[in-house]
This record gives sequence, C-alpha cells and structure tokens, in this order.
Amino acid sequence: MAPDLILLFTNTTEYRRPKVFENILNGKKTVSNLFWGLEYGLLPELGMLHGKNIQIKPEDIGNLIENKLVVTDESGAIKLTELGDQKQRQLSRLLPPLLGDVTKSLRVNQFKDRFLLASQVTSEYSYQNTKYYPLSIQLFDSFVVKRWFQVNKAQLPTALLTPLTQYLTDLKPQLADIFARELVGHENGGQTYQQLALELQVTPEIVELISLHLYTNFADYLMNHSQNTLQPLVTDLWGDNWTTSSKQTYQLFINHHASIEQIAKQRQIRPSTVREHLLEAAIWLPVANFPYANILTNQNSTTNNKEIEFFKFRLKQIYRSKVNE
Amino acid sequence: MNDNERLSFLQNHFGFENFRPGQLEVIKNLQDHQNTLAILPTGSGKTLLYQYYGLWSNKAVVVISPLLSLMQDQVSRLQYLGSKRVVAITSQLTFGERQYVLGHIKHYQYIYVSPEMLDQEPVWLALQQLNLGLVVVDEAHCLSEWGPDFRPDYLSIKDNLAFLGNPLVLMLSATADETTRADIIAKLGLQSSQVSQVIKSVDRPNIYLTVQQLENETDKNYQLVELVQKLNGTGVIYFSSKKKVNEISQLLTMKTDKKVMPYHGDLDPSQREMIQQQFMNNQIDVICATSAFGMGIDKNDIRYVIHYHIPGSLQAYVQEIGRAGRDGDDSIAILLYTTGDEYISRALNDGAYVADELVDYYWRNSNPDLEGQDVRLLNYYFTHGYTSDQVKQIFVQQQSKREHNLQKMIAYVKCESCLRNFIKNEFGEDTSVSQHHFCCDRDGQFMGDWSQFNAEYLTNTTMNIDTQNWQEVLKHLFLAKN
Repeated sequence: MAPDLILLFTNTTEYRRPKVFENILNGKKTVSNLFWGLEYGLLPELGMLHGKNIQIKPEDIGNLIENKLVVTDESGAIKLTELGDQKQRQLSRLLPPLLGDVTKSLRVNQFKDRFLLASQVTSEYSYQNTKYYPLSIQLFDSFVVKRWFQVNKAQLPTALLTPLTQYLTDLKPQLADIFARELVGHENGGQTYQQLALELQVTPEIVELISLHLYTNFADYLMNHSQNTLQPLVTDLWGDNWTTSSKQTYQLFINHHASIEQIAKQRQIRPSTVREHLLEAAIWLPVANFPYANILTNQNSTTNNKEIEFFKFRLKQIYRSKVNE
Repeated sequence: MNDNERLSFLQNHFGFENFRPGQLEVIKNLQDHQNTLAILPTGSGKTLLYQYYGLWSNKAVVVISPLLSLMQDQVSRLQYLGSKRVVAITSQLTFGERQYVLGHIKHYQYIYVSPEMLDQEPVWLALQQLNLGLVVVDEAHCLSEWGPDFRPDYLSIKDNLAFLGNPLVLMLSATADETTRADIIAKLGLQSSQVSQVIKSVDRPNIYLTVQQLENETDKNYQLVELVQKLNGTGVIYFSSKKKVNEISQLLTMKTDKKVMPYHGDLDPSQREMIQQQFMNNQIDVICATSAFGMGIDKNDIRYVIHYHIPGSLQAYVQEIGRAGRDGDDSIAILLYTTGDEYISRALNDGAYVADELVDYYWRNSNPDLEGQDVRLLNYYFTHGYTSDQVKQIFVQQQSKREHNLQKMIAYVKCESCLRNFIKNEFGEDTSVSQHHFCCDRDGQFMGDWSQFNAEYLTNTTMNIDTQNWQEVLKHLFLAKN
C-alpha cells in the first residue's frame, strides 16, 4: 500500500495497527476489524478499495519511518511525528469527506465504470458520432448503461449534464476539475491517476482515493435527488454493511427480549456468535438506539467467563467510541 | 460475386476505397469455401477479412485468440466499426455473465474465445447452436512448437473444430515461414491441398529502417531525448523491462516538452484504457511500453517506433515496428543499440527456460501445487502423455531456438548492407527487387541529417490540447443541442 495512503489513516495521538487500514480498505468485515475501524474513525472507508487486494508491506512502513513521518512501537503499530502530521494535513485537505450513511455500502468501482461509459456514450451521441472505442466494462454493467441510454436518449445530453453540473458546482473547484478530467468522451481520453497526481503533486493512490470518494458522494447525491435520470445507474449497487445474520440476532434480542442463550438455541449458533452479532449491531446502530446499559448490567456468566468479560469490555469501548464520535 | 461487386461491397459497407494487399484474395477464397492460411503483415486489416465475410454471409464468426488484451482490443475495434453483436468469452466475465452469453449465443455474430475457453464443454456446446460461417484462428503461429510463441492450448483447437462441424477456417498470422505454415495446417488436422495460402511480404515499404549504435546508456538516453523532442508526429518506444519503461518515461517528461506516458502490465486495466483512449485522440505524443502495448490498437498515424532494447527475435521486431504508418504515410523504425543489450534478452530467455529440476518435480508429483506460465505448459505435456525426458528435450530445443533468434536479431543490428533485404531474406522473400528511395539507413539519409529527414518525410500531428477547468471540460465533452 502506498506510504501516503498509510499516512492518511495514521494519527498523532494513538498508535495504530496498519493491518486495520488494509482490512478496512479491502472490506474485511470481521467484528474485530469493524471495531478497530470504528476506533480509528475509518469505518466510512470500509471496502473502498474492494477487489484491489491492498497489502501493506514492511517496506511501506519502512519508507515512512525513514522519512521521519511516523514512529513505531514494539508491536509494529505506528503514530505520526510532527512532520508526518503536517504531511497528513496537506493530504487530508485534498480528500473530500464521505458524506453518506456509513451503514450503507456501495460498489463504487462498478458505479464509476457505468458512469464513465454512460458519459462517453452521451458525449459521442451529442456529436452524433458512432465511430468510437467504447470503454470496456463488465458485460452486465454495459447492459445497464445500454438500457439507460435507450430510455433517456431523447433528453441527452441535458439529462446527464444537469445533475452532473449541479453536483460539481457544490464541490471545491479543484475536486470538480479532477472529476471532470477523468471523463472520457468525444476526441477526449480521460486523465489517468498518474497524470492528475503529477499536477497535484501527490501519489496516484491518493488521486484514486479522492476519485472514489467523489464517486461515492456523487452516488449519494443521486439517491437523494430522485428527479434525476442518473439514478438507475446506481440504485442496485447499494448494500448493507450490517450483516443479515447480525440483524436477525439483534431483532430477536430487541423485540422478543430473548437471552443470549435462547437466541443461540433458536438460531442454532454458538452463544459467542450471538455476542459477536450484538457487538456488530452496536457498531452500526446510533448510540442512543442500542441498549448498552441493559446488556452490561444483565449479563451473567454461566459459560466462559473470559469471553463474556471481553464482550462487556468491547461493548464499553464501542459505547465510548460512539459517544466521542 | 465478381471483383467489381466485391469492391463495391467494400466501399459501401466499410467506407474504404480499395482493398489492401492480400485482402481480396483471402475474401475470394473464403467465399469459395476454401480454408485459407493468410500471412499478412501487421496493419494490413485482418479484422476486415472476417468482418467482410460475416456481413456478406450473414453467418456467425468465431475468432480464436491467445490473449485477453488482444481480444478486448479487437472487440473494441469491431464496436468502433459499428458491429454491436460482438462478445469475448473470457475469464473477465463473471459466472452469471458467461451463463448469459452462452444462453444467448445466437444473439452474437462475432465471438472471440481463447483456445482454453473453446475447450470447455459448455462453450463448444453453445457454439454448436450457431449458424456458424467461419472460424478464425488468429496468431496461428502459436500452433507451432518451432515458433517463439508456442501455446500448447492451441493444439486442442483441432478437436474442437470437429465438434463445431468442421467449419470453414481462416488461419491468420503476421509471420510464418514455410515450415511453420506446414506445421500450422497439420496441427489443425487439415490437408495442405485443402488449404489456400495467401502470403504477403512482411515488408512495409513506407517504414524507413535504421539502427543506431551507441557507446553506452548515457549516450543512448541523450540520443533518445533528442529524437523525441524533435521527431514529428506521435510514436511508440519499446523496452524489455517495466522498470526501464517508468524510468525513461520520466526522463523524457522532464527533458522534453512532449507528453510521454508509460504503458505496461502493472497498470490497472482501467488506467491502461485511458492511456489508449488518449493516444487515439492525439493527447499523448509518445508511449513508452513493453511489448504488451497495442497488440490490437489501431492508431493509424504512428510516425515512429523506437526500440530502446533489442527484442528477442526478428519476428517480434517486425511485428512491433509494424505499428507505424498504418495510414501508408512515411514512417521510421529506429533501433538503438548499445553493446551488451542482448544480455537483457538473454536473461529473459533464461527466465523462460524451465529447469530440468522443475520438470522432474512436476513429473514426480501428480498434483503439484505450482503456479505460473510454465505450469500450463508442463500441465499440457503431462496430460498428453509426454515423458519427462521428452519434455526436457523440448525445452532445450526451444531454448536453443530462442538463442538462435536472438543471434539473428544481433546480426540485423550489425548488418552492413541493406536492412530491408536482411529482413526479407530471413522471411524467405525475394530480395531481387530492391527499394531505392526511402529504404534504410545504409543510404545515409537518416544518419546524415535526420532533422532534414524529419522535415521531409514525417508529417506532424496536431495534438489536442487539454482543457483546464471542469466547466470547459464539460462544454467540450457534451455538445449542447441547439
């Protein structure tokens, strides 16, 4: 993983384990990982680089240490130095914050592919040109774009330009420029991360993250403005970060006041799994909606003492994290 | 159909004035239902051959191709030319997508597959349902163990042709000598007497040939910077290593005012696509690439191809320089050579060599958990009953063939007489008629004063300037309706 990217997720006050950054970006949803994601304030980045199989190598950390940007403790966790803090601020200034609901997941790469093809097709259509090399994206995604184009043809390019312009108008000009310059169209190839990176004087991986943030926010924007014609390009790409199984456990817990053992029996899963589900629910739910006090006072240890103690400890940590959010 | 009608068909449906050398012959053969082996140099419009046949016959065409990137480029090209019913059945398709394609196979007229994919039962079962007019075996030299690009998967095509009802076959390659051609035909289970051969010279008269020997890398870099700064038009520079691609790309960006971009397999596919789009749109002056670049890309007006490292064979060299001057206008191929450059190629050859120990290991373990290119090759030999000794022998022979090819390449570099004839000779072509004007640097035109050569022969390309802010970008991208 690019050192600059690692730097972005590190901070000055606590030592953080780089493995968490890797897992978050790859979309690994173990409760332990979600917990640390929450602690580090990185949950919105969950799955942002899904499919890229990002790996942090020792030389990446080595690079940061050599450049005196971070220090490390015995366990390999890292913290920013003052120099590192300065660099991180520079980078953060470029990165648009993620605005949407953190419990929702988006297949952002698929959305980006679809939108890029949709704008290319629209661009060529507006010039009445049929001789061009269409971007190659996944087959089913190309079907979605094809259908979208057929339905909206008569109102193009306006039907695409209007929501796009509205979205870009509200952005910092530099970010709007990045977004627009990635677009492919008539006699115009899109800029690569490397090219944009050279101009912005950052590494291409940072540009990639900026771009993905812009597309995530764009998708949110489209969902919140239902009169726009671009919504069909993204409606089916949303999912829930909160897993179904955890939700089911939580429903039983909340609605039927079932005990952990009862839920375990009914769902034919282990009590430890039920506790994992509850921790996950606590991570995703707003702090006011989860019965922390209830659980913490009512838990009796009948089976594994250590495990329940850990469960209570974790729950308290989650509570504290969410209250401080 | 007579020849005039054929020409009209070309003009009306494809917008070309004339056929390129070899195209008419191939099309006639196919229309007479003759299996055809066509050796046509790079850039001679091979896609047109089967597109023409597809349109004329109104039947499906299956194209067997060795590389994913090649297939994707060709799908793009057919789409560019207006065909909508094109698909490539590759590992890039998700399971659901593949099911869809196979279930709707009759929806497609041009279907690209790799030989491995064709070998899968669900695939050829689906293809059997087509009203199949033609099977194209692209890069047919991959069938031959004697060529540098042997792919054992190609050997299974023969059986799959039988499953497809022994359709009409078109074999295509840019380079294949007599032995290889005979081998291609045999490996497809065809009789020589049943196959018409259309063989065109590998020679590209509009590409000037030159070799420049430099003392050391510093000199080479200096010369390269000069060339890139001053040569008219857009160009491609080939390297044997990704590291060098990146390094020189940066150097050229710093030292010239040209737009230079690196291109190699480590880049994200979406990023590679952007670079191709930009290049096609004249937004990049120079691409620095490993030979992976532009296998199917169709930019017509590349004015120069520079080789920073010598390639492993003359066949590869001819194919790579063939990217230049597809529009028929004057272009130039420059090979920059420093003594010892061949060691890089040799190292690559050694890297390709599969050690005896590995062969033994593989033959001893029935299901070895190994990965990589080599394993496919080993797998093929193993499952087809070869002994480990036979396989070791094959690898030794291939290694010696590669060394032989490299030696030939070095001989080209050191050649003191006509470079064009050297190449023609190598490909068994007639060298009695030689080109006097605009041939190669034995006439001293380029080495003499290349800025004059540049001005006289190489036309400049108008580059598309980047628009700056987002409002301008959108304005250019989307022509608003009046």
